[in-house]
Amino acid sequence: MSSDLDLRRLDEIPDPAAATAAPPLPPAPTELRASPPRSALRLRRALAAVLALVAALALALAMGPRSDLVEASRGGLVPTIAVSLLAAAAGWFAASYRPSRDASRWAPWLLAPFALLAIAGALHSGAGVPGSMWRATLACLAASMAVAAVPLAALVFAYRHAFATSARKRSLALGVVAGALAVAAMELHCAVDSAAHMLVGHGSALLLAGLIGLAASRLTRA
Amino acid sequence: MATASGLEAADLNASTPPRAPRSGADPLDQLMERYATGDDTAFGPLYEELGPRVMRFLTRLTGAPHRASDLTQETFLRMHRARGSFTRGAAVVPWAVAIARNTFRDELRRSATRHERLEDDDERGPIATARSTAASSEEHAIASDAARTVQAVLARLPVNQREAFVLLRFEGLSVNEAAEVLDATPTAVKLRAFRAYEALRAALSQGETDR
Repeated sequence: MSSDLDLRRLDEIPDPAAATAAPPLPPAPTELRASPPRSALRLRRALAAVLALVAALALALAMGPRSDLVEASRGGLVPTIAVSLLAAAAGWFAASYRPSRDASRWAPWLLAPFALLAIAGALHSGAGVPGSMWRATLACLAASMAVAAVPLAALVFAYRHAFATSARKRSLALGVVAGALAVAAMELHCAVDSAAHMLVGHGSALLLAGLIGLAASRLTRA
Repeated sequence: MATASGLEAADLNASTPPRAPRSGADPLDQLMERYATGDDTAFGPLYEELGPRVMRFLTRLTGAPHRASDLTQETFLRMHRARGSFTRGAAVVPWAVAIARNTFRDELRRSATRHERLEDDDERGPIATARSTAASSEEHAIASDAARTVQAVLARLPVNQREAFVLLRFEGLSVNEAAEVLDATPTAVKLRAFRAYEALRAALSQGETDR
């Protein structure tokens, strides 16, 4: 389709302002509030990332470590936390550094696996799973979102008015960071480690946090 | 103008833009780099150099110089607020234009003037009036009519088409730069600009027929 669009023809349209005097430039704003230069912002954002991580861990500890922490650490706990932290780092990188055009095109699809995991988990657990499991999963999801709120607030505050372009995608990435940190924290607290529980509880937490980040793009847009 | 347009035209259809990316070698980009790293004295020169371009862009989007004037000041306030977020080595023009576009969009939402027409605006004068006073010959009169038609049709176009057309035709951005500013794919930007072109071309042809 795009190859049919001969945009050279745009030059046929005359510029209405070409032969007129430019409109007068208004006076430059004089009362400028102090704004941090790049170095200060970098420090602020690094501190926000550390604060987000510490806050998630502190909330997990406040809720209490899981009863099987020692056994779980020999099993799937460490890889799960490692993957979550990797997802958080990737999200932080995507938000901090302007993604290339190609990267920004596929970035939203990063959430697709989490959505599929959540759906697959829900379908898998739909049959034969007691209601108590669903209640535990919903409670886990609610707790994850509560844990994600503090990191997300810190990150949105650090990145407020920062994104001139791709604000929605980069805000979504901030949400993923918060969601991934919350998932890692919940892994330290929640001893339920059935596949269905983790897929629904954790997949949905990442997805929801990403969407909340997306909704916060009004705050992060320059 | 013709040279610039020719260069741009070569860019427009290319899947990979042949234009070298603007880098820190551009004096304007260097000025922004100084400002982003905390040199407050760079703001004045930056405003002098970049302000007219932002003002012109916003005038074309709004069709109303008085609104463009307010939005230009708002744009530079936002640029000041976000200066530390300016990426090292990036080009300042697309960045500033993106912020100007955000400012314009926010103002649209605030004042619900989406359907405001240029002909309803008291201050369309600077473009249209200057044309009128210059209409001392038939050519000028025809050019004046065409300019008014373009401005009026632009004001009626859907905002996303108007933005794409203005960025590609008048602001000299490449398709990829415009796509970044508009947070859209290059294909979508081309499509929007072409739709705008078709509407403008039809209006201009109609005007020629009427004469």
